Amino acid sequence: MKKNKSTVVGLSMFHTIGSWMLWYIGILVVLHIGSAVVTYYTGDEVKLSHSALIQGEVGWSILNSALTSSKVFFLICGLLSMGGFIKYFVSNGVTRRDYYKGTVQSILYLSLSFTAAVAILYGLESLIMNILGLERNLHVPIMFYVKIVFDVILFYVVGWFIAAGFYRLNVWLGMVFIAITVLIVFIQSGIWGESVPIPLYKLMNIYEVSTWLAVLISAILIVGVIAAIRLLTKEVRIKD
Amino acid sequence: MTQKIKADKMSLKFQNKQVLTNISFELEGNKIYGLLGRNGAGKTSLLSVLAAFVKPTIGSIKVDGEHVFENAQVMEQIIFIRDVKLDDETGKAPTYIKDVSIFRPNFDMDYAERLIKRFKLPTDTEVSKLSRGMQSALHAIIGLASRCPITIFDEAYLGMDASAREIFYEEVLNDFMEHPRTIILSTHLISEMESMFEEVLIIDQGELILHEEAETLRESGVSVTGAVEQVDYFVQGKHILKEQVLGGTKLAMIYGQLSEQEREEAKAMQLTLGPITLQELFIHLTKEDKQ
Repeated sequence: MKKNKSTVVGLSMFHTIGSWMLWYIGILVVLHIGSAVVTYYTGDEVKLSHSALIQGEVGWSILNSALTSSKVFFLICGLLSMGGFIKYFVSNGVTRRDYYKGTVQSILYLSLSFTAAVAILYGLESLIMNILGLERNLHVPIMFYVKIVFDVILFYVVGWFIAAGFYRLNVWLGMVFIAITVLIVFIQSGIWGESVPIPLYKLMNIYEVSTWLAVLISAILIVGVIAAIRLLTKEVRIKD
Repeated sequence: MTQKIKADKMSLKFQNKQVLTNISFELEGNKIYGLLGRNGAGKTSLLSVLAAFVKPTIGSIKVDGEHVFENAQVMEQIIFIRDVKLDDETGKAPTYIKDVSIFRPNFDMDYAERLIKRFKLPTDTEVSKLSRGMQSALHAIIGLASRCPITIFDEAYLGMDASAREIFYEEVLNDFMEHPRTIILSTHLISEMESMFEEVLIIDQGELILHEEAETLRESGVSVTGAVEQVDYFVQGKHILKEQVLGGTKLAMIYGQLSEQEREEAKAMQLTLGPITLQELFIHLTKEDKQ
């Protein structure tokens, strides 16, 4: 059966960025094991991150490391999803619409597979700890995984949004897109109860909201950014 | 299937710069077209509009009556090959070709493999590490093997050496014979390609200044060869495109047709008459001082 062009784009992007993601997860695991070993032998806790939602020994799980670092990783993936990719696809006879739909699909596949990978790694981590006889008091609600999915999607799309802004408009207007993104990221962090340690954020008074409201607001932010990307890329000129 | 291309009063402007002005033409299809223009004349911009890389500011470009821009069915039928550097491609050539082939319904992988051998394209080197000539060959292979009904080569052969270009020209002609389609070759190196063109479009400063059958163009002027004095006498008062002297022999290319009487006169003066080259005509038509 002939595949829809946007599905071909989606799978192709998932294949490319998924392979970057595997590298990233590999490095993450190595760093995490390294930090655990250092902590074990020196007693100094090497915290790779601090996260909302998990109660207990927060510095001590792959979940935290994954949640924090994945934001930067997927932001970069988003930044790289514009110029080279749109040129490649349009050069191969794909419409901007199919490129857009395909990229959105791939972001969905990436967020779900990343979350699944993190859940599996957490399972393995717990298993190893049980074998080693190390006990810990950690409660991970299902919402934690939902938040990972939303974070991956949001950070990916804001990266893509900035890149689309720079691609479509000039550098100065591109800066405006960065400012909008900072605001979006503040809101996302605030509503999920994460504090951002900079004064500007504290001035904004964004309060933690109930989980379902946070899900709703995150979804609205994502849909808004994705819609803006479509407007920016709809008739964009492909650069040399 | 014949794909008729029609541009209607098309203009393109970006960053406040007029790039193309009021371009109209019709290409019936299943021919090899030459798009000629000097550097910066607007050849790539015109082809970019045809390949849906950019939307025309005014006017339209259609294939079989359908707008090209953002039209999935039409865009799939057009391939636009340029001599772009592939510095970020870490895969090897066969993988790169396989990856792009999924987007082209008529892609012939066997033909691509034959071309890889003919161009001696290294298959075990990363694409980004291929020489410029080999990257050009890779583009050419994809352009040919995709067998798109509208195949555009925009100076895609500039990086190739003479023998690779020779292979390219041969393959374009052979594959065109076996699988007739619309092939547009844009170039400013006219002399070695002009025999391939069936129709020629000349673009200058963003305007289409000529669209004619190549044969008619070659007949639009005459080359006169003979003894220097005889040639000088004969071409006096005529529109001379080019003069060349070698020993006692002179070649002059003149623009315009000769009357029967003039032909007889040339014969009597033992002058040899012939067609002019497209290159000379092109240079004449796109001279900077010619407005």
